[in-house]
Amino acid sequence: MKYKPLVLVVEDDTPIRRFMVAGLSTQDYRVIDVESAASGVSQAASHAPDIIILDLGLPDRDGIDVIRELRVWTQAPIIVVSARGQERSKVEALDAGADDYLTKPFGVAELLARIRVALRHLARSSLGMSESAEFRAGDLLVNLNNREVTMRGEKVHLTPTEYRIVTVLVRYAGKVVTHQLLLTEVWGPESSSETQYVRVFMANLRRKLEPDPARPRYLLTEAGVGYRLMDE
Amino acid sequence: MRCLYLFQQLRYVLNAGLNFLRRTVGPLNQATITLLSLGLATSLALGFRSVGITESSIVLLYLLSVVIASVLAGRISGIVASLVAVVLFNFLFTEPRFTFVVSDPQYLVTFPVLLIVALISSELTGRIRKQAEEAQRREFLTKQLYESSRALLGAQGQEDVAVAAANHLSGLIEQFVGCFVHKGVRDLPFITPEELADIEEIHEKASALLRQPYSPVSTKLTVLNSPWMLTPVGVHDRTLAVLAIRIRGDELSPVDRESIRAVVVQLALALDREEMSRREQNARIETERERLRANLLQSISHDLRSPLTAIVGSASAILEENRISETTRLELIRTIRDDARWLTGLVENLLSLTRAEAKSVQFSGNVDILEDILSSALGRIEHIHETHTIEVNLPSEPSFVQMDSGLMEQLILNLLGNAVQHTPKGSRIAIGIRREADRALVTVEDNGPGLSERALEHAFERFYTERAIADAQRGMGLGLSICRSIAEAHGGTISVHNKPEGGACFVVRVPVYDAELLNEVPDGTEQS
Repeated sequence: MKYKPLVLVVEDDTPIRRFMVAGLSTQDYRVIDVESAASGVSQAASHAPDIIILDLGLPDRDGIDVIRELRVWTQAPIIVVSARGQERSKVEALDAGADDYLTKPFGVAELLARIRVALRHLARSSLGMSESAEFRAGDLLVNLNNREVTMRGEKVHLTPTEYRIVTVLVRYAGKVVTHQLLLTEVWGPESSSETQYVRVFMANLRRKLEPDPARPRYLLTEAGVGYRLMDE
Repeated sequence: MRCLYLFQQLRYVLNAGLNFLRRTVGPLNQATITLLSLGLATSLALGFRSVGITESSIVLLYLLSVVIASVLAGRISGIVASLVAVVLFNFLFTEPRFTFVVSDPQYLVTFPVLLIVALISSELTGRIRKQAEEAQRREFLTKQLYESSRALLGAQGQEDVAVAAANHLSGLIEQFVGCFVHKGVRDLPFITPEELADIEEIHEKASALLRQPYSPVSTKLTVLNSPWMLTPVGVHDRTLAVLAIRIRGDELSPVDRESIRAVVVQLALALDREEMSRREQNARIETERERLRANLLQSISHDLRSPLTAIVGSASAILEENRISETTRLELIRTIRDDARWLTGLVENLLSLTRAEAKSVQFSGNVDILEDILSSALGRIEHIHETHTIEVNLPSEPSFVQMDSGLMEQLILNLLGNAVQHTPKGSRIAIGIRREADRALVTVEDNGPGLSERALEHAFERFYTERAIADAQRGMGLGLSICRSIAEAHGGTISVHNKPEGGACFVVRVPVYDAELLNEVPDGTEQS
């Protein structure tokens, strides 16, 4: 029998929790749902879920705190759920160890997509799999062996820094990458905190990689948070 | 008329002459002046006597010297001169000479008369002199008041008034003058010139005086070996400002005192006027805000009802009606989703509104790239492509703008949403970014019917709506007014015009963040 990943949903609003459970159960997931941070932490400890969906606005505890506590002993991906306009708390959550986020309101399709990405990354790292030599999304192909990026089969010329950004985005494909993380990964931990660099390069990169700027398809901007390389 | 003019001219010349005399003679003390004038009279009289001029003329000479002494040296000197003149006349000119003995009894009349005439004339000239001085002092004061009021009238706002007062007074008395004045509602005072804030004792004492109820008593204190005077300025019991004056030398001269008094009066008037106008303005703003709030509430409750009704109705139809066809059921569900989305948009907009009005983003926002935000916004409205053709024009250089990224995204979403709403299906919408000097421009154009004359004028006013083309769309006349609030919160503007070839064009202008940053971006090392 096929293994069904276990999802822990921590959300205090009943209708939202209900639709998440409904959406997940019809797919191949087992679900535990709780409505407080306290029971979320205890359920996570006793059931060791494969993935945790955590609402940032829980009544009993600060969500960022919960993430920090969970991260002490579990590597299970954490996806936080928060409202729009709270970009700062999203960045904080990601810095505290969350893997990704969902902005309310969201649909089931979006929820499932985020979970798939998170599980894929988890599988890759837990199996100790080296990153595959090739990344493909739509017409975009990144060949990490011969350092080549092609769009619709045509070679795209990138500067060294742009290429390095692409490799970082490929490593986190599907997940959101904050400005700060990109800065550290590309320019090194010693680099200044000026995330403007990143933005300039991303702007140029998008111009080279997006065939239709009216419909950004590969390099998505998450306003106020960072970037996401689509992989589906 | 002519006569009066001549008289005035004459008075002017006389005054000038007197002033000149006083200025040159002024430094000499009064006794010297008295002695000089008596001595001059005596030597002249001795000369006259030797050529045989009679004693009656000599008496007149002495009278003249008494008048001169009292004009130049004041009443007391005049009286002293009168007495000395009588004694000198007796000693030097009456027989027997060089004694105080009088042989001729007629002198018993001459001496008292001389003394009385001398005393009266010295008294009279002394009084005239005093009156002239008083008149001059009054003229000086009037001029000071006039000049201070002129200096302060030109200033707008408390802080400008304070600066003008300090500068003006400093020019008048040629001393360092600073001013402490209330700043808005916060506790910290505004201080001019700024460096005064660094002198701790003065800063502390003046701030304390500013908080206390007004009393017209100046405080003296010594800081770094120089004496200072802190003079409160106020109306009734309210202290409006505190002047900090550094005193050079030991004491302030009477003239300086007058100057200070004049400025204090004018400053109090000016600040009182400022405060009154500010209070009036606040009251007006508050009323306007109340009115808007009431309108907003009314409009929201109306606009919330229709989508909510649709949602409740659709949901209950699905639940209760089991003979519904599969197509209808899907349609109802789609209605629920779409109306809920619309409500979400409404909530986002209302939140943006409060956020945009609560602060000026210019000073609190992060620096972000406008193109990024545009791209993010486009990613959020995928469904726009179902009905409209979207065209994007981006510049080759990214535009940095200090912004609240959420608000900026909302602005772009609202402009795009507005374009979709007011153009027929299949229309083309072009969104672009370009640079114009130190501004970044976001333009949203369409090839729809454009705006009516009235709409062009009122487009950005709250609650102004035009009938939307797509009839399923709801509008509450908030979107564009929120765009304006957001643009203004970024220190920018928004405008709309109809293009000559047809269609509307919205233009948002926001200040670009220091572009030099772009040049400092380090590119990575070579690709190995």
